[in-house]
Amino acid sequence: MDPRDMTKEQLVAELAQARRTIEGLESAQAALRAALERAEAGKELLWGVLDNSPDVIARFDKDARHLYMNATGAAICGFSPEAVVGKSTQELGFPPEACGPIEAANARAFATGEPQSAYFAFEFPGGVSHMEVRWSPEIVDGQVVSAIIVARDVSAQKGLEGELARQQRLMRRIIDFAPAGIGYLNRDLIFEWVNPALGRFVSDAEQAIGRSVYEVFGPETEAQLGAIFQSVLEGEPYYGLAFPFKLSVEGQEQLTHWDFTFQPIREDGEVVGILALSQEVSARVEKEHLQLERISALEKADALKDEFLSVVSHELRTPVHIVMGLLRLLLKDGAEPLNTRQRSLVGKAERKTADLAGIVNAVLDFSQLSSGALKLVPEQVEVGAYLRELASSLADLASAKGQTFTAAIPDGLPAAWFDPLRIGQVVTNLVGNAVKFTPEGGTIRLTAQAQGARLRVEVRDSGIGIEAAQHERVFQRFVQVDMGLTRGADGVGLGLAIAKQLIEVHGGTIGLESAPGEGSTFWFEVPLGGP
Amino acid sequence: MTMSWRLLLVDDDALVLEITAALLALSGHEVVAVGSGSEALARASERAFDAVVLDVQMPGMNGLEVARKLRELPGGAELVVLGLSGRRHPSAIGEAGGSDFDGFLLKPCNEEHLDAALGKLLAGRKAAGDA
Repeated sequence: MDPRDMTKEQLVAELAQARRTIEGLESAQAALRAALERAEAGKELLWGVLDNSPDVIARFDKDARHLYMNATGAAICGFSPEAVVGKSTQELGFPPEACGPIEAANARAFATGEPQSAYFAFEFPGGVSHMEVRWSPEIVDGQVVSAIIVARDVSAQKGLEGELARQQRLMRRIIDFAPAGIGYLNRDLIFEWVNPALGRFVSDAEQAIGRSVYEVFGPETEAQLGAIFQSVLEGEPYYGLAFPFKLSVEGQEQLTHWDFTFQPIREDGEVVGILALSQEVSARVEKEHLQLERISALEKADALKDEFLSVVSHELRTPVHIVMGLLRLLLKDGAEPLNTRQRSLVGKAERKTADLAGIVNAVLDFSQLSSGALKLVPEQVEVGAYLRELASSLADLASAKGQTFTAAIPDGLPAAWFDPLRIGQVVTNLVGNAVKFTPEGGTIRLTAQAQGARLRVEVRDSGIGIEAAQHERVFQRFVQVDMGLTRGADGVGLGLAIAKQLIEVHGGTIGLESAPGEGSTFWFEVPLGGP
Repeated sequence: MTMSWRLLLVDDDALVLEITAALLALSGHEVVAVGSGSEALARASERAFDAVVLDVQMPGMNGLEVARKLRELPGGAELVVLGLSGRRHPSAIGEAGGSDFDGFLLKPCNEEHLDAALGKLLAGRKAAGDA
């Protein structure tokens, strides 16, 4: 309707309508402006994100010319982001080893429309840069119009991989050169891996891998090793020492010895395989064998010595005794008495023969004590009566040398359980020594007392005494403390060594108290209850 | 005080036998010396002895067997039998049936040892007999 035809009311209404339309347009315009502002801000944000990305981000045309490059990339190339636009990689000074792969990948991306990737490394004065590059083609109406390129410096990662490789090589070298065989068996007892040292054991490392342990070690080993492996697979480590194995080395069979460890290897608590460690110990085993042989030879020689001593002294006893018997007969025979000189000579011969019999007996006792062949014959002994009787038989020894011998054996000594022959031998030896080392006119005293569950016997003399340093030595065999005296009846130095052993087989102890010039007290204690 | 006993001496070593017999005779004992177990048994059944001194290791009938047979003779249970043993210790023989012996001496031993040992055994036997 023409406004000129409109009524005033109609015009007012029309104007109001128009004002509302204008207001609507103004409000739409404001919204649009706000949207544009937001878009602008988003664009700024996007540029900021792109420029701050640690990756190089660019956009290529089909000739691999830069349509865009973020600040990171431009900085690497030494240009401003604006200056790189329209330039090829060569023009930006990329090294030739980078340009080739980049152009080829770009061409593939434009030709196929598929994402591409390329990898290259180039040296720069500070080191090597490793770059990984990805292409995302931008497709409009089925045509590739550009490609977004993201290039990432993976040098740090590369360095890590290099370090890993280096460590792996080091580990490998350590394992390869270890003087121990190292192998890994899976649950089916198949060798998954062996080192060269184990290779020596199984003759060929390469051949062992992938084969069963019994195939490699020989089928006969299943009986020996089957149960062991079963228990290792159940989680129990196994350690075996000095296993003998025959190895063929350069065509020659050779007996070797190996220490073994089979260690279960677990993954998430389950045994997944066995670590087999083996170390050749042939040299050690050989040395041990040699030592054992040497020890056994020494033991044999020692036993032979004891046997020899025992046989010789036995064989000597009878003839020595016969000679002594004959001499005694000569001395005693009243029917045809000897003249004085003959009597004196035969008497000397008899005494020397008695000395000889003493030595033979000492050697026999000693050999029997050394080999453990001497058996005690313990019996219940009335100690008081026993010692008094012994004392009376020993008194003659002392009086023959003009010494005073006294025995102080108290009444009421308890009965004791011991071998009277052997204890008598010890007392006789101690008194004999006292007589030997005490000058004429000296005194010798035998005493006895019960001390708790033990019987203590002492022989005290007024002799020359023994210095403290010699106290231990006098009980050693073949030792006679040099005191300027000629050797007596027991000239071999076995008397006290035998006495000590006889007391010890009775479960007792022997000792002395003495100082030079103050005489000596030899004592022993034996349990009243027996050995 | 000198005791005088009737002794039967048994040893296969002729020289040892001769010397021991002579020495025991010189000590005042009446000694019959024989060189084998069978001879010893023959003499012991003919007449009574105070004691028998018996070598344990002898060829043929050994001392253990002789001692057992001596015990079977009339009055044999009361007889004093003293064993003389060389190689083996008396305890070893004791384990192998030495119960027929009243005592043992280790060979060789002189007439004084024999005198002392026999004196002790005979005194013990007499005391037991008197009791």
